[in-house]
Amino acid sequence: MPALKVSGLTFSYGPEPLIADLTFELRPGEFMCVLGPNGCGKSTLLRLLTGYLRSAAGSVRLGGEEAGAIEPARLARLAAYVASETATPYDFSVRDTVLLGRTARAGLWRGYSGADGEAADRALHETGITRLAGRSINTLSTGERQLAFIAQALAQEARLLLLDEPTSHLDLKYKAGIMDLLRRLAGRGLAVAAVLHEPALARLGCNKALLLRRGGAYAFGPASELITPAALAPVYGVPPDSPLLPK
Amino acid sequence: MGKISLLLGALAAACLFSLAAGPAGLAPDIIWNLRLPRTLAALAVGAGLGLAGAMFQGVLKNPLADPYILGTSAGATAAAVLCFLAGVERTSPVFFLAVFAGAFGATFLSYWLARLAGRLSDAALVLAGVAVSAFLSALVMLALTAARERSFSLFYFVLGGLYSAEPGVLAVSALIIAACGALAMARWRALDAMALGAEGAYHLGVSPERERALFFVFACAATSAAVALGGTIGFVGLMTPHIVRLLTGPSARSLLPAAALGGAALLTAADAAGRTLFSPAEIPAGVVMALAGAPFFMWLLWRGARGRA
Amino acid sequence: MAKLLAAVLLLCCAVQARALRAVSLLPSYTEIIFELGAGSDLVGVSNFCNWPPEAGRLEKTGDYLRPNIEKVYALEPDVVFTGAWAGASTGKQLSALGIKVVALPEERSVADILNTVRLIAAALGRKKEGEALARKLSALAPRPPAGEPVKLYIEVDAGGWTTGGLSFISDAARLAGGRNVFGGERRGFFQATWEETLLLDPEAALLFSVTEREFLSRPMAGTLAAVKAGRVITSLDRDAFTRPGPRLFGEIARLRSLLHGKN
Repeated sequence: MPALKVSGLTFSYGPEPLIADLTFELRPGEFMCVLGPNGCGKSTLLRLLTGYLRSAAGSVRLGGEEAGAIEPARLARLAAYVASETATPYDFSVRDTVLLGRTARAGLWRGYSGADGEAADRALHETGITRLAGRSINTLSTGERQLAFIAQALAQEARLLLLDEPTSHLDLKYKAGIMDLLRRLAGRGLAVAAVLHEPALARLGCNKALLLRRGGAYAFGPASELITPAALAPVYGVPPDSPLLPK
Repeated sequence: MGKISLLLGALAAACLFSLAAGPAGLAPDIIWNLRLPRTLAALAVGAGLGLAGAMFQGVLKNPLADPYILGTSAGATAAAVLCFLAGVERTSPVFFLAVFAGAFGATFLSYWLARLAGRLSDAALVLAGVAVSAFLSALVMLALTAARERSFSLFYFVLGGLYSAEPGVLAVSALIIAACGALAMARWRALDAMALGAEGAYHLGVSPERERALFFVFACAATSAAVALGGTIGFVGLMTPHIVRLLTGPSARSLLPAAALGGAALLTAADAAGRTLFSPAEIPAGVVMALAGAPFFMWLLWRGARGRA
Repeated sequence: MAKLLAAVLLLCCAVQARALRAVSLLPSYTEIIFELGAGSDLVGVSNFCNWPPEAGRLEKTGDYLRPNIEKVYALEPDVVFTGAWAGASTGKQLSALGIKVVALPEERSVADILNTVRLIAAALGRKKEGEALARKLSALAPRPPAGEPVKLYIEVDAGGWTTGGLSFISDAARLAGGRNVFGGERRGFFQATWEETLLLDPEAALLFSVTEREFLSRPMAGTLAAVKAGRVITSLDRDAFTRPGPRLFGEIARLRSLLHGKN
C-alpha cells in the first residue's frame, strides 16, 4: 500500500487554479523531490497533503485514510512535516523541541515516558545533533536549527516525511548533509517528499520527481527521467543549456 | 528543584511580609481577620493574572501578550463598572458571567483586529489591544462621568486594589482561578506546541483553533475572576511569565504552576508594599504594579528591538 | 456732603450689581452666590452645580476640573469665579480673553469659607450682604462644644477615602465637637488603610458614600468603638458636608447634635 496516494487534487487561492487534477503516489522507501518555479504551489501542495489546507476537489490518502477526515493527533502519527522555517520566541532546549514531536503520542497532560525519551534521543542521534541537545533552539545556526526540526519530525515516528525547502539558506556542506540524511531515511523505509529550491540538489539521492508548472500542469515520474535539462528547462523557463540546470 | 524552592521562598517571603507588616504590629486578631483575607485575595488575583499571562503568551506565541495589553482586563473592568451602575450584586453569578463576557469579547476583538491587519505579528496584536483597551477605558470614563454619586469608588475599582475583598467574591474568584489553572495544566503540551505557531502545532497533532479557543476561555475566566476581586491590575500577567521562565524554562508544564506561584508572590508583595510604604495612606496595588511594570515592558521592547537588529 | 457721597457710592454699587453677569465654576461658589441673593447675576455654572434647584436651570460650562473655556467666553461674563480645583490654566486662559477672573484660594478651614464668602460678595459689589452672611453662618457653628471631642472617622468615598488635617472637613468636624482621627496627617484627601482605621478605633464614623451594611461587613468592623456605641452616621448630606459652602454650617450643627446631643 502506498504511504501517500493523491488523485485528482485541485486547489486555487483565486480564480486561477494553482494545482489542477494532480495525481501521484509515494511508496515507502521512495524519496521524491518537488520542483518548480516560485509561486507554482510547491509549499501549498505539502499543506494540502497534511490536511492543513483543504482541497477544492480530489483526494489525498495517507496510509489508506482520507487526509481531510483524520484528526490532527492521528495525522501527526501518519505524516510528519518540516516547515521551511519555524520560529519561537521562547528558549526551548533542542531536546525539548525534539520531544515536542511526541505530542501526538504522549497525549496532552502526562509527562514524557521512557519511550518518548528514547525516540527523541534516536532522532537526535540520527540527525547527528546529540551534542546540541542541551542548547537553546534560538542559539543554533540555521543549519543546526533545520536539523533539530527534522529530528522533531523523526520523533513523530510517522511513515511519511514531508519537508518544505529543508536546504534553503544553508551552506553547501549542510545542503549535502541534509540530502544525505533524507536519502538514508528513505533507505530505512520512510516515504520522503521534499520541496527543493535548486533542481541540482535532486541528484543527491531522489528517486522520484514531481515537477510543477504555474497554472497546474505537472510531470511525475522517476527522477532519472525528469531531472534532465530537457525536462526541467520548460518548467523553469530557462534554455536547456543553462548552467543552472543539472546535466 | 532548587529553582522551584527559590520561587516558593519568594512566595513565603511575600506572604510573611503581607501578614506581618502593618501599623498594628503582630496583633493576632488583626493578622487573622484582616491581613489574612487580604493576603489570600492578593494571592488569588496574582495567581490568576500570572496564569492568564502564561496562557496568552504561549497560545499566541507572543511574549508581549498579557491580559492588560490584550484588552482582557479593560473588557472585564468595563463590564464590572456597568454591572455596578446597573446595581448587580458583586457576588451574584450574573456579575461573574458579565465580567467574563466583557473579558472574552475584548480579547477576541483584539485578536480578530490583529488578524484582520494581516499577519498575527507581535506588534499587530499589541496595537489592536491598545486600540481596544483605549476604547473600553474611554467607555469606563464616560460611565464614571455619568455616575457622579459613586464615581470615586468606581474610580478606585478601576485603579485596582484590594481594600476590602468580600469573602464571597474571594471564594468564587479563587475557585474559578484554581479551575482554570487545573484545566490549563491538563493540556500543557498543547500550549508548548502552540509556541511553535498554529501551523507547527497542527503538524504536531494539536488543533490550533480548538486550543486557541480553549486557552482564551481559560485565560479570560482567570482574568475576569481576578478583576472581579481586585479591579484592573496590569503587568502581573506580562512580567510573571518572563521572570519565572528564567527559572523553569519555557515548557508550560513547569511554567504554568510557576507563573501562578510567581504572580501570587508578586502581587502579594506589591499590595503589602502599597499598604505600608506611605501608611496610613494606601497606594492601590494596581498603581504599585504599573510603577514597576511599565519600565519592565519598556525593557522587553528594547530587548526585542535589539534581538531583531 | 459725606452723606451725599455715600449715597452716590451706594447708587454706583447698586447699578454695578444689577449689570453684572457672573459665571461660577465651583458648586460651593454657586451656593454662596445664591445665598448672597445674587443668583440672578449668574449666567453660567459648572455641570456639578445642583444646588439650589434654580442653579440647575442655568447654562452649564463643563465640569470644574476642565471648564469649557469657549462656553464661558460665549456667555460674555463680567466676572468668573474659579478656584484651586479648576487649575491655574483656566484662570490664565480666561484672563487672556479679557475676562475678569476671581481666583479664590482653596478653603482649608471653616474660617477660610467665611473668607471666600466675603471675597465673592466684594467682587459682586455686595460687601454688606457678604458681611451679614458670614456673621449668620459663623453663628451656626461658633466654636466647638464644651467637653471631650469625639474621635471621628470620616469616609467621604468608599474604599477608605478620608481627609487629613489640611481640609475644611476636618475643621468642620472639630467645630461639631469631633476630632478627625486622621487630622494629624498633613494632607487633604487620601485613601487610608483599613488596618490603621481599626487601630485608631474611632468612637463615631461619619460615612458619606457607603451604606451602614457595607461598612459593617468589613473585617473586624464590629470591634470598633463607633459600631459598639451605635454611632455610625450616614444621615448627613454628602454634597452639603463636602462642599465648602453655606450649607456646611447647618450640617455642622446637625453633626454636633448627633455627637453631643441637643444644645
